[in-house]
Amino acid sequence: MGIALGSVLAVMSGYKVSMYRTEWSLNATAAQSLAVQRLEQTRAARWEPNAATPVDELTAVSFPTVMRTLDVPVVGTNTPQARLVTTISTVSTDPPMRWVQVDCIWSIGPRGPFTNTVTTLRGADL
Amino acid sequence: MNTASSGWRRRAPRSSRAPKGYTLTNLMVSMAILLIALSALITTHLFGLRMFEINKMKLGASQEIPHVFNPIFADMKSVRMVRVGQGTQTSFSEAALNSPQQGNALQIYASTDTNDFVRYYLDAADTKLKRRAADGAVTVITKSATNATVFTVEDMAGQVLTNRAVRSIIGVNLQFSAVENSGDKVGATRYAQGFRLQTKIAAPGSN
Repeated sequence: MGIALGSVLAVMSGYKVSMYRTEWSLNATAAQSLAVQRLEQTRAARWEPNAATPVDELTAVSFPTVMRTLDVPVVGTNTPQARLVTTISTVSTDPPMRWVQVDCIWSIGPRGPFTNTVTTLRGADL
Repeated sequence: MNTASSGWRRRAPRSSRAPKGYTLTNLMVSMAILLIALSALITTHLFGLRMFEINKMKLGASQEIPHVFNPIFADMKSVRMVRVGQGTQTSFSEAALNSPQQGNALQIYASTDTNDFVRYYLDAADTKLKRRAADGAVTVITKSATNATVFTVEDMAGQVLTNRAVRSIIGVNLQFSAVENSGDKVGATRYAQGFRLQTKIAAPGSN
């Protein structure tokens, strides 16, 4: 009986591990998509240092840390959240070039946090 | 020779009255053990089936994200200008100026030639998101999309614009009634109550 019970518990544990890995994979893909969204938003920011009236929307103020819902199938009240942190720093002033990094931080229940990071270099609108 | 004193004892002859086979009690105990073992096995099997179904849906959803967005991102890489509005396989009308720039269709021009375009549109007849290539060939990107407004032109902060802008973002928002890759339906009475996909793509040349 002990061996049979152990076998059944082992099989169920296997299923639970498989479930966790699948959920991790899904959340990681959704988090990557969320990070790319934020990066695209920084690409659309106006940065015109040479304009008659210089415009600079590509700053940390324009992209504060926000919480977003991951695009995964919603089960009950379980809507996994992710924190988007955007970091913008100057690489060079001539030519004007900035480095943008977006971190999407998420977790599965008590496990985590995990971070998906995307970066890009962005030049000014001349 | 005294066998008892040497440690050997003759086995007593089996009485003809000794019970043969199993008693009812033996049988009942064996049946109970078997029943418990089978119940555990069936429960494990059903648990496994449920896990498998949930895993299938989640993996399907995971595949859906690149499956839907990769073609749009690829087309947007070589964009000269984009237009959002109402469209079908054969027609497209841009959203009017001074009104929200949104609709079921996105038209992407790779050059200033307005006859050279790729169009994405949600076909309301079969709830499929389709891509019409420059040569007119139509491919299905995804199925079971239920919302009428799929594409929006937004500013950096995510507000829907009412006019064209030098820099803008194309928002893509899809609400599904099923996860295409797994075939699992979503809704109030289903395991998953909802499934949506959203993305934003910068459109530098949208003016």
